[in-house]
Amino acid sequence: MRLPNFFKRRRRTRRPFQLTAAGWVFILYTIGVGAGAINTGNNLLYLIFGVFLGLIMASGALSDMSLWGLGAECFWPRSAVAGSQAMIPVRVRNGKRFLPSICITIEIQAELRGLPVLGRAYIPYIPAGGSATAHVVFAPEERGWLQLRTLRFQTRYPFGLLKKLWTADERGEFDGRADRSAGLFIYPSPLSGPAGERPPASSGANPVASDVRRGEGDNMYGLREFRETDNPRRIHWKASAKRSAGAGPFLRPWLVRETERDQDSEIVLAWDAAFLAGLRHAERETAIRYGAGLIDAYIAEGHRVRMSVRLSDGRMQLVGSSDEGALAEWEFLSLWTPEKSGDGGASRYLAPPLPEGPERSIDVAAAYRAWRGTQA
Amino acid sequence: MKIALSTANAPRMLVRSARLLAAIGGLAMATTGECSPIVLVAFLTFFLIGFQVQSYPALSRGLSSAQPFFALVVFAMALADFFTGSQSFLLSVAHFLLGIQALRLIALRTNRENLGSALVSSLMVLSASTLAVDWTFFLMLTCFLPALVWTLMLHTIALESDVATGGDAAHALQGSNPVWRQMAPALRSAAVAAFAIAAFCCAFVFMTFPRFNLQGFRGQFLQPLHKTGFTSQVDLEKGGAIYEDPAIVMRVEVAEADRSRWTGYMRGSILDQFDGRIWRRASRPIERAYPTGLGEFRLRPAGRGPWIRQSIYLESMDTPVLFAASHPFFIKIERPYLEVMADGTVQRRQSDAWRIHYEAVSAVTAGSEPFLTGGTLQSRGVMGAEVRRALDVPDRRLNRLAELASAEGGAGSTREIAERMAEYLRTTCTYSLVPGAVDRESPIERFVFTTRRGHCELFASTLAMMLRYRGIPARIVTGFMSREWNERGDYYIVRMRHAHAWVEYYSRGNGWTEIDPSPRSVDEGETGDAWKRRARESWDYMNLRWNRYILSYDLEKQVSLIRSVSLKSGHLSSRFERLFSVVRHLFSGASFNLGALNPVGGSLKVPVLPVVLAGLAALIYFGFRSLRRSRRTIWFYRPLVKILEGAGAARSPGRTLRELAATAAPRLGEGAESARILSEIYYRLRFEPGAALSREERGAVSEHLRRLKTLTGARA
Repeated sequence: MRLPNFFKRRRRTRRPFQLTAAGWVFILYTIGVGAGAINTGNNLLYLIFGVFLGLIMASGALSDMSLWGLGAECFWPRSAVAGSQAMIPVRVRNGKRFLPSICITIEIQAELRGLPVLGRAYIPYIPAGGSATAHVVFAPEERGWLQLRTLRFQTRYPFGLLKKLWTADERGEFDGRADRSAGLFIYPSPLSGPAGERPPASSGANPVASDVRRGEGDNMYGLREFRETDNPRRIHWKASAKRSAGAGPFLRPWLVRETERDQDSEIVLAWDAAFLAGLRHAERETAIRYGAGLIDAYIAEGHRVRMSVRLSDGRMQLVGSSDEGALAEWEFLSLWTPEKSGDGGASRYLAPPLPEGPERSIDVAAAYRAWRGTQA
Repeated sequence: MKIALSTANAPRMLVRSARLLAAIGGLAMATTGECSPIVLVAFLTFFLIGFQVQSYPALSRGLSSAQPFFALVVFAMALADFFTGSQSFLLSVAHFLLGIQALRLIALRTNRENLGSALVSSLMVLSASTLAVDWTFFLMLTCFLPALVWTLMLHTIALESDVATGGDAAHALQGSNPVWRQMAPALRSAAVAAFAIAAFCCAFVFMTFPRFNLQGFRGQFLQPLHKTGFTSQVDLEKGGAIYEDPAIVMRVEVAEADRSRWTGYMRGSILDQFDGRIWRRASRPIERAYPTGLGEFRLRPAGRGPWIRQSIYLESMDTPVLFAASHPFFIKIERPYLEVMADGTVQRRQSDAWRIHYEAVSAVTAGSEPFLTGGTLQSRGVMGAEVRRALDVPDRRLNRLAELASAEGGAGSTREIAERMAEYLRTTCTYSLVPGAVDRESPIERFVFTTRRGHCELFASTLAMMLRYRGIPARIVTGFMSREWNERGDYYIVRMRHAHAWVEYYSRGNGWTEIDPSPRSVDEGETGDAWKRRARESWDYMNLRWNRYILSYDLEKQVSLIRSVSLKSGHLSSRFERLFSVVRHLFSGASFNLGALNPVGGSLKVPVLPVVLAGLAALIYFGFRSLRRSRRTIWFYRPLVKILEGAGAARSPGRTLRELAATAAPRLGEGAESARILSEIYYRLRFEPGAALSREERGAVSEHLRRLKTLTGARA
């Protein structure tokens, strides 16, 4: 290590501090006692002045020690719903061999649609060399992608005079076991209102997917090799036995059954980008929540819901592939901002353009307008 | 994050801790011995009531909400106490704080109230510091500090838990809470560490913080409280009570060689105007004496007679007079000037009556020289006035006393006359603190002809007047007389009850000579059980040490301490150098000149070698730590990022290494795979617990990096 770098490293404050209100009072109090001591020359006042200065020093030293060697591991859930709390489990590890960490607050600063969002969790005690888990709670108000920005530890321990902070390093030299690419989808909160006033499911039965597809159903589609996520109940024992699967030196995978998707249960919700782009922000969000409510309601009825989007240039595109399940639709709804070019990153969920739109689909815009009419 | 102080109920442990803190504060006030017993009893009563009130939440809430009103009442009482009574401001503040704290203790419920109580407790200790005179304050401070540390810790934990759990702080500090059970030992250790840091810092600040004494705001308003009863007049109708007060006025260390010469008298001031009943001090010109050295005042020539050297620790008194044996000619004291008068009285400025330490060297006999050499007081006029004033007799002639003076004085020299008169009084009258009824018209005649019983003031007054009636100038000297010896600390204790009055008469050629007509025996301390005496002496010796090392610690002592440290460290440095030289000779005998390390030669007292060694040790330690840290931060991270930046992947906050590698991939071409592999290895090392690189992997990482460097270099 070069000497200038050594001094540069020393100079930087890795754990800055902020004075709390009590800290300000205490410091002013200490200054007052010091001034009194200087004015009167009373040595007992000098003693008390020294004691107070010592407490401030002890406060700084102990709070700093409390933050030494901390590391955090965040377990990001895949998604959360706007308007409700999202809990992110964080395991905090204390790397110190002899000293525990006390009164640690974990603060995750994230960004949602360009706005900062803050989540906190408190851990009263982490033993030396041990770890503790806390749940950082976010309350996102809007849908979108909640992107982790920084993870910060802070403590007011021991006397509440100052708040010591340790923030993740900008260069990624963060020992906090947190992946900066981490984040979670905040799904739009479905409106419960449309459940009784939605268009009939039959009006959106999907003629686009008239070909035979794999999926949930009763009819046999074929056999394929076992994957880790497959349900073992679907193993086709007879076919597997024929190819000597799962035994012997030349181990071959089991074979599992695949079924045809039940075509009648698939519904397509058609979105119109131009319609949404023409709405004001609050209205547009309500429309998206309405659409989310429709998805929820149809799924609750046992339908497979897919979405198509009519872009501003008139092209019609399906959202996600048929194998991705409903997550693609929800994630698309989280990110979609029709008025923006690039659709807020939602465009990656769009399948290749269709030559023609689905013959039968539920027009979300029309349904929404009708619903708004009933509301008025 | 803005966290308001919660109003939720505080954990019981925190309440107990705050109560303990308040109790220590109250005890600190009580041990000063200045506070009114009524206020202290009220404080104790409220303190005890508080425990009972705690069991009735509704009552506790009611009292808590009424506290602002009570506080106003206490404040009004303190104001009335200050303006109508004769109390000092500091004592009124102390009583106010005791009152406020007593009210707080009735209803300690919330975290906020507990913190407020802790603050008031610290103010009480602060207030006690302005009243305290002995080392019990140190004991109180030593108890207070850990209690304060513990209370603040509990409060912080309660507050944080309150915020985190939405008002369930009580659970956080419960013995049944497993987290608390785990945390408590660690918290205790932390409290000990905090106490140690605070104590060390306190000692360091106390020793090294420059002792300024601006005296910008310190007048009558902040005068000390300790009233000694030492006044500038003597009323013969009164008196007596002072001679029973055991309070310590001063502690006097006398140089061992001079102890036999000291009779136990500490001269204070002079009373020379008598109206038949009251002795007063005549007004006379005052001359200021300024130091000739560091706090050194030379008041007159030393003379050729024997000296007495004394070191005096004077408690705060209601007089600025400085006491010393007989005739002080040299005083060492930390004051900008002293006031000196022709009668030999030496004092500080009028408003200065604080506790002080000074050294005095006194001549055993006054000699014929005037008190001051040089200055206006030397003139014959002033000295003549002193003598003339000492001949004044009251308007109402005390005929019988004058006759007695003629009869008992006899003929001879002034000294012989004075000795005969004193002897007459000693043999015919007895010393008593209860002189009986006093004649308002002529207390002296009643004493000497009727009761023949009285205290030293009556003896001294009688002799002085008898001398005056014989035409011999005489006056009363007030001061102390004690030989109470503290064997534990080798010093004399002077108490209030040792207050004394004796006589000075003037004779040509000998100047003013002291004579004591009182048959009062010199107090040589209490007898009794040896162990009790030893305990008392040890306790008082602690007070002397407290006075010497803490209360009297001043700028001069600071300078001397720093000199001593410098000297000792210089010695230490020399020892190190010698040791180093021995080691050097033992190994190879290399001609390494240590003197070269010392840029200013041998006169430097700073311990060069220890400082250099300590610096090297620190450098190695921190360097090693930094090295370890840099290893931990994965050595190939920076070069990789640099390569990726070179390939067009701009770094920005929040952008991960994977993203950088993906962005740079098109420009890296064949190297994209290497960048991807390296970034994956980085993530594994960074985020997988216990992950480490094997020897082969380290080789592979180096190879990938080299490859990337070659590729990007070739493109550049």
